[in-house]
Amino acid sequence: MSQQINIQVRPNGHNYAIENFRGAAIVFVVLTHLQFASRFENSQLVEFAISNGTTFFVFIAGLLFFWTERNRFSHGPFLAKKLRTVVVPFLIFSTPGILYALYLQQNKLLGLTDLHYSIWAYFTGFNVLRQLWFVPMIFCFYLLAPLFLRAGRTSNTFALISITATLLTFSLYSDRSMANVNPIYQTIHFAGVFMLGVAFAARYTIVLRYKREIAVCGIIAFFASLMFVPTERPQFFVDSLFLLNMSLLNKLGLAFALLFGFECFLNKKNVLLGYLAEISFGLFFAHTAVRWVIFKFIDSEIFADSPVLYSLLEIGSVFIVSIILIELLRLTLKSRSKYVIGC
Amino acid sequence: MSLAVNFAKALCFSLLFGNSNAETLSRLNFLVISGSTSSVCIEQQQRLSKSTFLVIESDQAAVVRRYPDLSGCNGQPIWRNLGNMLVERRHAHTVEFTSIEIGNAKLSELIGNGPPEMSLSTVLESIRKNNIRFDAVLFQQGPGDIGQTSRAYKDDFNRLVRLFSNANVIAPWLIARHSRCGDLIGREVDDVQRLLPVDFFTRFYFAGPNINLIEDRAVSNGCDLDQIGEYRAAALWLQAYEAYRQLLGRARREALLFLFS
Repeated sequence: MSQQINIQVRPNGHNYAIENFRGAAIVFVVLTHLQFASRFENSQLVEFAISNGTTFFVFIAGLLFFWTERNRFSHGPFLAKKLRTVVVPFLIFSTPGILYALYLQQNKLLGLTDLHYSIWAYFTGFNVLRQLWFVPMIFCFYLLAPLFLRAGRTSNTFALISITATLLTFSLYSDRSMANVNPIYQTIHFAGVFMLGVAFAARYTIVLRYKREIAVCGIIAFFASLMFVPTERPQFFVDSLFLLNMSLLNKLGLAFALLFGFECFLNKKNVLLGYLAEISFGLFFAHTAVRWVIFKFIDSEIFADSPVLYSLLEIGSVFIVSIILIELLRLTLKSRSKYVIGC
Repeated sequence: MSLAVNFAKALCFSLLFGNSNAETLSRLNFLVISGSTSSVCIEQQQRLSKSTFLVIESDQAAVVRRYPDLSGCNGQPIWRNLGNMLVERRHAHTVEFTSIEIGNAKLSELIGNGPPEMSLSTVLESIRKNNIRFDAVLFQQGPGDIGQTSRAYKDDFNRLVRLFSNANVIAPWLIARHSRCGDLIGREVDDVQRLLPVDFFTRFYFAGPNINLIEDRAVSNGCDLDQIGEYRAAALWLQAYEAYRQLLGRARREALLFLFS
């Protein structure tokens, strides 16, 4: 079964549709953390349409985890590898943010000493670099990897669908924790999305038979959910339980539309998306810091009357400067760069 | 190993049952930044200590006064009412207010773009020098900025917060919605005051009361509240404070802070 999947889905060890999807996913993650959406008249709709790009990454993480690990998984070496390539860059990027927070005495607001604040911030990923919460959560998934692998390996398709449907229903009827600050709640919330990736990978040949239908369903879900943009989100994880999470539905729809749209029409090398996929971890770690530095030099009032010009400036400058920074680091550090910026 | 087990137990217990936050504090110390809402009134109160009352009035030269210098009390000011209510509701045994009244001034005037006499520097220096610690900042301003854009008002507000944090005022800010003066309504100011506390955990901005809801008949001359209005405003502040305490307790639990403090 595994051999069959490897031959059919990943000819020459590569699936360009997924690579292109990864490239598109990191664009959404970067856009989520920029400010341009608030400039538009209908800012709530724009923010809703671009937010929650994390869903793509959790889905891809489940998909790739199962494909790459299903035949060779060993928990110890797997965790050691993730510590080197995910946690070490996280620690490197977190440290300046935590020091800055200590300089601003943010720890006093929380009633923590400097040391306790630092430990807490590393544990939760709470940082001025807002995206870093993802790493403690994804590490929880790595810790739980044997369970997901076992579920994905089952030959009983009914059991696989049942597990996935249960977890996914929970994901759709819950939300993230307040300020993304609780990695345990985040893991519980996103478990269904990760499991969906695992399940798709486990039955990818079957899923591919319906790629057009899935892509169309994804497009419908994406646009339908745009008509129900929530005016406010529940503040706490517990408050979000049993409420349909429109944002997750929206992003799952878009994930299906993109991935299976690429399977239908762009399952070939795309220079731009392929490159973005290659440096996706670097972009993930760098983009908020880069934005912060750029707008220390650019007046935030610039192009106040033109949201389009402002968007072009902000998006363009953040991507260009981030890419220059990543390439400089890759040139300098060579193969060791993946321990610093993850790529 | 036992440390890890205890950590796990505390985690499970608190996730399931939470922590209680209902204890009475011995002393609450608030910094109040308020616009034109109430007359300054200090009365000897046995339960309220007001030894650090500072006043700035926008239409006069900057005045920094301490309690014994202020006298005369014609009305029922918000903060004295609030102090009484907090004590009665057993939130604290003693409540202290340090009040900065800015009349109908704009925030931009307060943070340094106005005439020198409006400068906050004297007050900030006094706070820094006396190393005064505050449990929260109660912010109630807005009518002076009616007509201001939301971006400019938000920037001015953030600059104001930075000025205070540079003076070592590291405390949660409770932001009242106060953007109405008679028929004049500052919608953009209201947007900022409403939206700043949404992401409360990131900057520790919390929702204060909606002063705009106080009916016109409780307002004496356009913006200023009369005696009834001041009492209602204090009651709304009490509600907002209690909501803030509850929110903070839940936030601390969700952020797993109990494991690290």
